[in-house]
Amino acid sequence: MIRRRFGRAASVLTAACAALTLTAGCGGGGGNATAIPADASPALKKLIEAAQKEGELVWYSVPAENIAKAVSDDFAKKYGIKVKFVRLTSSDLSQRFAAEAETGKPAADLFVGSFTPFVVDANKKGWTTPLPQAGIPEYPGDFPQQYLVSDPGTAVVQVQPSGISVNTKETGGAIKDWNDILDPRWKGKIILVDPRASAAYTPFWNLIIKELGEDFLTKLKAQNPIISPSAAPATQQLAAGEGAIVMPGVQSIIEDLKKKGAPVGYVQPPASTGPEIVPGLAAKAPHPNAAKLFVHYLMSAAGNKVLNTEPGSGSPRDPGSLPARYTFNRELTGVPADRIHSLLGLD
Amino acid sequence: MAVNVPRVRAWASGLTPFTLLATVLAVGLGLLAVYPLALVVTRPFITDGRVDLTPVRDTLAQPDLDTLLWHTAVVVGASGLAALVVGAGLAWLNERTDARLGLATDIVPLVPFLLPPIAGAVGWALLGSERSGYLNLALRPLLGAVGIDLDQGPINIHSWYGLIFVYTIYQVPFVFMIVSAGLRNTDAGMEEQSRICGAGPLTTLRRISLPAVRPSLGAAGLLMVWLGFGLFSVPTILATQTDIDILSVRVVQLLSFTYPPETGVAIGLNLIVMLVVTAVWYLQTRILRSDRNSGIGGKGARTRPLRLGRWRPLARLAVLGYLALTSILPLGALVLVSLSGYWSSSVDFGALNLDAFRRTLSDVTTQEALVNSLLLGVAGATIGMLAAAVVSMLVRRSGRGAGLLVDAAIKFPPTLSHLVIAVGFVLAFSGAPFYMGGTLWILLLAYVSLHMPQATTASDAAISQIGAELTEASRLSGAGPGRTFRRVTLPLMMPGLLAGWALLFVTIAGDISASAILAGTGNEVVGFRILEVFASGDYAMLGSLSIMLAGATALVVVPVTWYARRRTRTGTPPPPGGRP
Repeated sequence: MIRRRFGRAASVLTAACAALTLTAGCGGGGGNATAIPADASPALKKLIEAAQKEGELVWYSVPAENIAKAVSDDFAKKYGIKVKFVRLTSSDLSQRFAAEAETGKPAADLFVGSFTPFVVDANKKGWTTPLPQAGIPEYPGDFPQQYLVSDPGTAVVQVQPSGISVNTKETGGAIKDWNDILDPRWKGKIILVDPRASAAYTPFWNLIIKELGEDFLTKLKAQNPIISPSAAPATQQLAAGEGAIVMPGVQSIIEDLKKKGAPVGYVQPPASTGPEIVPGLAAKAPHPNAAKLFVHYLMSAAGNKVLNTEPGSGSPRDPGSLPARYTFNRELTGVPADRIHSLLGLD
Repeated sequence: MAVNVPRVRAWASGLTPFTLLATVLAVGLGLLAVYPLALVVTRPFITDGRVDLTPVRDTLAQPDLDTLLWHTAVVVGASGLAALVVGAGLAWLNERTDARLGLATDIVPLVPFLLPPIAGAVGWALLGSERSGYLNLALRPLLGAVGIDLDQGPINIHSWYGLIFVYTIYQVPFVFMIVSAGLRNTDAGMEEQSRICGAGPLTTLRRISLPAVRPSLGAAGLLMVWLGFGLFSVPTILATQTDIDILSVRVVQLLSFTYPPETGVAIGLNLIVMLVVTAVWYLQTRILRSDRNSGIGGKGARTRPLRLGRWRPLARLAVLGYLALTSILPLGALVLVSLSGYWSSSVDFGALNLDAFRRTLSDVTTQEALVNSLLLGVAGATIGMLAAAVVSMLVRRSGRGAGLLVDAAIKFPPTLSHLVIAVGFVLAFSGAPFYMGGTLWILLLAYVSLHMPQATTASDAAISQIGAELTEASRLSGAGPGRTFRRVTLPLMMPGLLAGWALLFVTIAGDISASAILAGTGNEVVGFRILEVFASGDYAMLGSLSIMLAGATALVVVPVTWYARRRTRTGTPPPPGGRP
């Protein structure tokens, strides 16, 4: 009896083992017939050859799954390198990357994530290699100077400006700028994405305070907002009419729901900031050359365009894709998170 | 004197290969739980080689610590009690009365549990939100017809009662499974005798049935507390909106808001949970150890179920009502949101489409994730329950001391936030010398370890009901401890173990907490996919994915439940020399 049971357990384990070897990645695998571009510099040619020899790339992505997939597929097609990615939230990414880096055997070759204090800390601890020292050919080339971050040596490859999401049935065209949501009409109808959920919201509220004063937060609190744990459920609540406004709104989620026919829209006030996406090269990457080539690709005109095709992401290479008065996160550090939470009545 | 004989014998036969193996296994499990944790936990408390108690001070300085603890205690306590009453009531109806409806009643309490908590919570938010909840949209016209006009409500799931209600739904299956197994194993003859002697149903319940299932109720109570404090998705989605402060939510905020995470304070808060769990655990060991528990005797007579008479249709209606309320409603809400593409306050039945299901089915990653999750569920639950059975037996035999220590080492670490433990598993097993990072093995280890309390609680209850007379008879007939375990103890524990297996399987197959850190490109699991889909705001795919997971797990749980039931119906294999 017991032998039969253990036997069964063993066969399950064998099956699990088999599945383990079968599991493949998410990105496209490329054919190996891809040629090296003729106009590539000798240094780039050498990097491409080394990366192709490694044959594979694993990366962690904060940008949404459809974007990560589009970039992975395009890179795989272009260079014939198999790409796998894991899509993570900013905080899960830091915890995971940190823990793996500490074991000395990181699973990912690089991350492409929000510029948070983690990025600086990871560099200080030697878990990542600053881009200028990584030996990326022609770095930074013609990449716009103002998007280069000197500490810890990285570059903003994508900007996700925050705005206001609205239920079009409820608001019509009444909402155009931040101040409009303080209208008494919207009392009890504003869905506030909980700023305690992620440090990524701190620069945003700093921008609001810089533009409109702390007073704005006190008045917003008096509007009795509905608190939602994150942007995703908030936007669904908005579509259903549980509220009329989501603050701050994420455009990519709105566009997705709009396509399905939901009565939602996105308003981009001219003054804005938002998550800034930077690459971080793992110091002990299993495929270091593929990782470097990927950063080169993300910063190139062609790669950066693929990364930023979806509405809701601004490209540093295309100033027209950004709000008129965009402020960098690094300039928005004055008010600490605790103060913001208490002004909004969240402590 | 009579009590001492088996104990001496147990000591004398202590060092057989079987006991040695069992001890190694138990100690191994203890280490598996303690070692990864030690890597994370000791860090904030040791600075420059010295013990640093700043995290404890910071914990006590948490804003509104008293509100936080009070709110959490109310929700966990109220839902735990409600689950004990509902779960035990359903179990009693099913096992002891003629109200049962075949296999259906066995499965009713389990169905809502097949939805991972994140999907269940979303389902209830879709149903019970004040303005656009599907239930409210349906109820308001009805109320309007009788002259009550509302623009929102009448139900608000983002409330104390809503939160406690959804917590209860996720706790009931554990009480039901454990108490059912307990009732199945105890002799119903005593209840019949009580009835024949003229005692009313209430007296019989109080004097016979309740004492008989005390070990099961104790085990269920411990699990209620353990699971209640650990539940995270439900309060995140339902409590954030209402100013209800729940500990598990605060812990995750502490871990994810800043970098480096405030692990010290998070652990400090978890230590409070651990104190509560310790108190309940102590109470439970007292219950298990008391000699007044009735056990399975050597006789296998079956009695007729209690006739409910005119109450029978009512009881059946209550069971079916519970099914409708807890399973059909949230599943229906998820199906509706999947078919609509998004949560809408006006459902356009002409525009419903299968797009979300098509996207889910055609996604290769999701297919792999589903296969992996089911494999991990089967492997994890099987290993977990077998190990739990061995550990329970060992702990029971070894008495106080070492046995209890191992038991504690296995049961307590998982009371910490699973996010903390998952990081510990990465530190312990990802690099040298194990190199398990990104494999299914690290998930299997973590799942088994994280859910050991659940497994051992079920097996503790199962073993505590086996009367000493049977194992003694086996020993006196010359069988060693290994053979006794295999031929007597294990078969008799089987209904309880299978019940535990089913719940463990469902929990592991739908795990989200540890997977957020441990799953990746090489080891996709469904829980991780659900998290991804939730984060991208795609409720339609969240719905279709959860329904598929629920369907797949049901395909495993239903036959197992049926088999467990059939096994008890035909009677457990008789002990050597016993009567059939």
